[in-house]
Amino acid sequence: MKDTIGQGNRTAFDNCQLQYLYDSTEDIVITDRFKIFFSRLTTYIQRRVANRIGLPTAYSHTTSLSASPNALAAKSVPLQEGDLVQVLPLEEIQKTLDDQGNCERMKFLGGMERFCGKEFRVLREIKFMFDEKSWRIVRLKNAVLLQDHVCDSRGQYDKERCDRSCYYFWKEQWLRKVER
Amino acid sequence: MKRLFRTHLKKGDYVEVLPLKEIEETLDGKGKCENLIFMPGMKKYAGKRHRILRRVQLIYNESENKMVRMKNTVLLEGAICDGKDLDGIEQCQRLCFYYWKEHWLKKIARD
Repeated sequence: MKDTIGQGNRTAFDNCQLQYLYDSTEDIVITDRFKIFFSRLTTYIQRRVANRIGLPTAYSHTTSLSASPNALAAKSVPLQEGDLVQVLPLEEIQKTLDDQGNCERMKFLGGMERFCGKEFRVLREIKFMFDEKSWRIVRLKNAVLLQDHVCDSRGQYDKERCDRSCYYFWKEQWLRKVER
Repeated sequence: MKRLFRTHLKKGDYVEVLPLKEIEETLDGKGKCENLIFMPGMKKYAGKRHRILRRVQLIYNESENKMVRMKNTVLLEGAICDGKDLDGIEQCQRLCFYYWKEHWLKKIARD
């Protein structure tokens, strides 16, 4: 039998499932629009309430917490696969962020703050990845993925209901190595 | 090409990935089933048991910045692309979950 697996119109640089994924998608329908709208509304209300009562959130960049010229000076501790780490408290993470909510140009996303203070194992150090926007391999610095720790789109204002389940990217500056 | 049926899998269901031969029967000449490509790196999961991590109904299209919908597609726990089976971009370390058509899976009872 002819082996048809992976024999799409591939080129040397064209062989990741993500590169074909959108061939199998279609435009959203009216019910999807309603679902997305209500999810966005919920996120918006949660943000407003959190800001109103003064809870620190990933998306509240008050002048006292968000940072400063010193933001990018935060030091990273090199981490390896299997290392046990603790996610820093949100207040400490916010000190590493610039006024766009980025640390070394990586965004700390809404939804990531619920992991603050918790312990995880490093799944993988991440140095290269395929970037769908630029359609090429890009290089990352001081970034890791954490085990059992995927995005469920919660708290992301423009991507609610996304089912992709990507691993969050974590800057080493947001993590503290736990020695046991 | 084999006639396809929906199986209505949901999160937490246990499934067995069909043998490669049966999966190939669902693929067209471009190696796709309902336009979703079956990647060479997915071969190693054939015949193995997994749990459904999530049904994929809506995803964010990064390149066009919009939400799009998918049909009959699921993610399996532990079925992750580690980049080793990619020609040319082996160094990709994103660890994306593979996307599976329900037609490639058979629901099984929990052990």
